[in-house]
Amino acid sequence: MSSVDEGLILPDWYKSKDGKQYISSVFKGGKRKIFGFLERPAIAPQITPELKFFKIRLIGKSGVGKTSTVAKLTGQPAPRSHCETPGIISSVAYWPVKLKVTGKVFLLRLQFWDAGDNIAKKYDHIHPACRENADATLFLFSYVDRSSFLDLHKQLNDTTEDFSNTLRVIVGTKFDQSFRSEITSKELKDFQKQWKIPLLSVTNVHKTETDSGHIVTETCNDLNDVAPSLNRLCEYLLAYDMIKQGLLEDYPWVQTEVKPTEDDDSDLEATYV
Amino acid sequence: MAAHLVCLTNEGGVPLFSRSSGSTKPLAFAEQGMLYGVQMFAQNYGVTLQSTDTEDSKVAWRVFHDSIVLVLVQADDGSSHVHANTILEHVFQTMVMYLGLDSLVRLRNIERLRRDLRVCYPVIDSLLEDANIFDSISESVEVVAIPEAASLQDPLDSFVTECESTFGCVHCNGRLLVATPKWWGLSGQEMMLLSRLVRSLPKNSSSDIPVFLPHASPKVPHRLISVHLLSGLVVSVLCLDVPTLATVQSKLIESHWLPHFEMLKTCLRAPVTNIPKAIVVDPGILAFMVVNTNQHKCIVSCQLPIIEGSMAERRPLTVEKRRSILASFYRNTVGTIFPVVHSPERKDPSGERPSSLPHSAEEAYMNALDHKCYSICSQDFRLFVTFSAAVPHHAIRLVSQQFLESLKKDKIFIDLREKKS
Repeated sequence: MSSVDEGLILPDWYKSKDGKQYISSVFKGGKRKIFGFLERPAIAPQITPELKFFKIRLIGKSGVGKTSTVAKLTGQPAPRSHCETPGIISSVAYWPVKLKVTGKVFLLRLQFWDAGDNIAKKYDHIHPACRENADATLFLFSYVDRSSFLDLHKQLNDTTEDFSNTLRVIVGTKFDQSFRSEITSKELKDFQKQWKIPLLSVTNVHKTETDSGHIVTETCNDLNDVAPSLNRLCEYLLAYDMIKQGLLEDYPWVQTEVKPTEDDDSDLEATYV
Repeated sequence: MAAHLVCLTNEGGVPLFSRSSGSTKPLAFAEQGMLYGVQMFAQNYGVTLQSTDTEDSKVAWRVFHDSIVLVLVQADDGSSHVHANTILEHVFQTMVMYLGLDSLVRLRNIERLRRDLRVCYPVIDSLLEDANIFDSISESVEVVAIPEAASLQDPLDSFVTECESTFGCVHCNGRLLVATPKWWGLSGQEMMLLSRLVRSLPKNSSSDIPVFLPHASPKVPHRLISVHLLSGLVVSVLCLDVPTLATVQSKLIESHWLPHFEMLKTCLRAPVTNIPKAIVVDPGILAFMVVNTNQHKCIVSCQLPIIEGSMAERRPLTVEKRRSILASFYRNTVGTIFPVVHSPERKDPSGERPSSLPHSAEEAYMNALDHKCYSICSQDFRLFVTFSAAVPHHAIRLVSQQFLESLKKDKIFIDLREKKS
């Protein structure tokens, strides 16, 4: 996985002593700190990193796990059972990362825009509101629902939407159940080859059965659970941002515009988290 | 106390959804069918089936607009059926709030309706829960009683005006902190359901949710925009096409609310006891609930501190216990001894039976081994108090009366609604 080793950011930085003083502003006592709109993580002024804003939009069919993915990434409890999202819910998470080359630290403010699929079809102000000025689009599919994967082609081909100005990432949910995956790894590989889009795989909830036979759903909110996913997502966002600014020439899987697909694709490997 | 709710179509009994409180096992399909069957049998003979009691539970049925059947199964606590009916009414109005009345009266695509109804689950689940039941059984909105809230009135008014609306409010930990006059003018049920909707949102979110107002606008949707200023403190505004959520976030929030950051923090840190500052609470009081039935506001406090060396300390009751005592006292008093006060908007038959008393009761009490309860029913106010068992019996009446008198005078019960011209 050469592309991962030569990554843009330090993946294990959050465990280091240097990283801890930043992480402690967003994680306390093993729990994510929750910030309202008027609040910011408190970091000592001498080490205050540059703040970067990203608007991230989620697309995927109803029940695929949009809300749970956002809950995991922003440190909120995931819904216990499947509920439709009643409108647009946009949640905020902060995450610090350190660049490998320059050693510069960035604090990313990720704002996820999640809208219920059914409600968006009913009211026509919802899609435009999510689309407006989005920096990235996450396309979600579930490893245990083949149709959600097949839908991706349709969503990426959607002519009413213009994704050329956003970073595109596909997100596979319910990765813990990938042993009964309905999608082969070859299909995933081919899909990535065709679209040149990075893949992020997530497990949002742990389901455990108690002695009394109830299924208890727990959100995977531990630092070690979320850090790899957040790092990965932030890495793509930063790369995309730097390419746009001309600071970086190219980065595996990240495109600023739709390029022709005849590039040399020797280094194709599904990049699991 | 376990509760089950089943929702079916009246024509054909197609199950739309079923919910169960807490970790209880959901009802089996056959049981749901049976509950519908009994109701349908009665209906075929021109009889309306309202409720029944089994050995240990109560069952209540309601048909709404000849299209939706709701059935509630609850453990029997000896209370009046009025309260089960109230919960069913709230559940139906929750469905109206999210989907609009039209799509519930004329059922077209059942499969789609079933999917659409999933948006209601968080609020419906909260209605079936026991922990925060006071606002729903009293059809009023729970408020936070702190004097600092008044200084947020002006910022709220100007923010709401900027959003081209007149309906707006701020919730603090799920309870109403401050609202515009129009918001206070909504029915108790609407304010209560909107509070529960806001409570169901993630605490780091801003949201834009289409809602119908069950009484004021059951057929035309509005957009409820809610933004968490601090984690646990939300400002909400009801608007039509403008402004967009992005505009509110980027242009209006910081300019209107950042100058009041410290004040917002103070409100968020308000003590959980929720007692207006000027009021002295007798140390024997463990929990209380006061409802203004005219303005549809209530204050609930089950976490009163136990003063060291006081009589209450001898046999302390947990917060959970106090809450359940107070709730069960309310349920057993209202509807049997005190008449029920519904919002004027509510037109359904509430299931209330004519009082068995030849006169109208004004006060009621109850004594138990480890606590005492006292309640007063006056013109616009109802007070329910749980005392420590150590408080002498002859004192609880006087203490309750004085307590209510001082509560009545508090700022929190100033009528802020717009005067009807």
